[in-house]
Amino acid sequence: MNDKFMPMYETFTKEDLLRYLYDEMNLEERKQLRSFISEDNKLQADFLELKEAIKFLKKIRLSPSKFALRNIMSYAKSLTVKPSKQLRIVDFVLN
Amino acid sequence: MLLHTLSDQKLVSTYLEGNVSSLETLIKRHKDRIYTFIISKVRNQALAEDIFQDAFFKVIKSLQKGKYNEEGKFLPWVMRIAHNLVIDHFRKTKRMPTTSNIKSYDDDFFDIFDFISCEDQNSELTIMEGEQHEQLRKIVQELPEEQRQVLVMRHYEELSFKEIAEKTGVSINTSLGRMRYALINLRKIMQEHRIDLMIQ
Repeated sequence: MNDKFMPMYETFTKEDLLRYLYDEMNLEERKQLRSFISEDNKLQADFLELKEAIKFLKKIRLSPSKFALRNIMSYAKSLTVKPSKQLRIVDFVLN
Repeated sequence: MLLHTLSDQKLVSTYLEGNVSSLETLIKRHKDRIYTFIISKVRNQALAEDIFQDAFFKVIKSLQKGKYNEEGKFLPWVMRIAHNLVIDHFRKTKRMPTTSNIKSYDDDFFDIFDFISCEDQNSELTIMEGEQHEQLRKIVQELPEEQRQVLVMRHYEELSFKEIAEKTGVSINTSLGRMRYALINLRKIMQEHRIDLMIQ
């Protein structure tokens, strides 16, 4: 099975599609690969297949509980003094 | 103002101006990634929840004290805080976090799918999403061990392919190849099971 792209340049492999999708390529490589993908239908199909699978995985996530998030926000609110309140405090002190 | 359209930097600055909703938006944006990172290290949901909360208590205190450098990136900063809390925990318990090792799958391998079930550990999930999670969990169990491991390490533990290669003692190309086959097989199994998952 030919895992290399149709050359102009035989510098990329199918595994490089993954490096692209997981943002492990430099800008120049990304640019070249995008160009290859746009010119090769089979490559596009491979790329889209991997992209879809990754999108699917992203649907699965571990999340902290709402309880944890509520605690954090309660804490944040307890520390946050709104600017309007700050102004009133300053007014009080000055007057 | 549509908060979700603002950058992290902008959200931080509007939070410091008194808009607590900005902080909430920031947390919602990054919570899953941070939490998944923590749980991948401590392997315990209750403990991960505690560390997650503590991390954000520290974040909030530091922001309020003006200790956050605006030129830095928010997520890496929070991840560092979370990482340090994890290390502190292990120091207290006198254990160090294990690293994944393909030669000993069972003990060291963090299988995120053990933490995913249709039980509502996240009450934001709809019934359909819960069923999808359960389906995915079963599908992933069908993958060969090596493929499942690299999939978890790259996608959920967010190790680079280079780091995966180093940890598992193979070349980068091999780790990339395993990941590619994992994803291809995932799609094949989904099609075999006729799973119609709405991908947004």
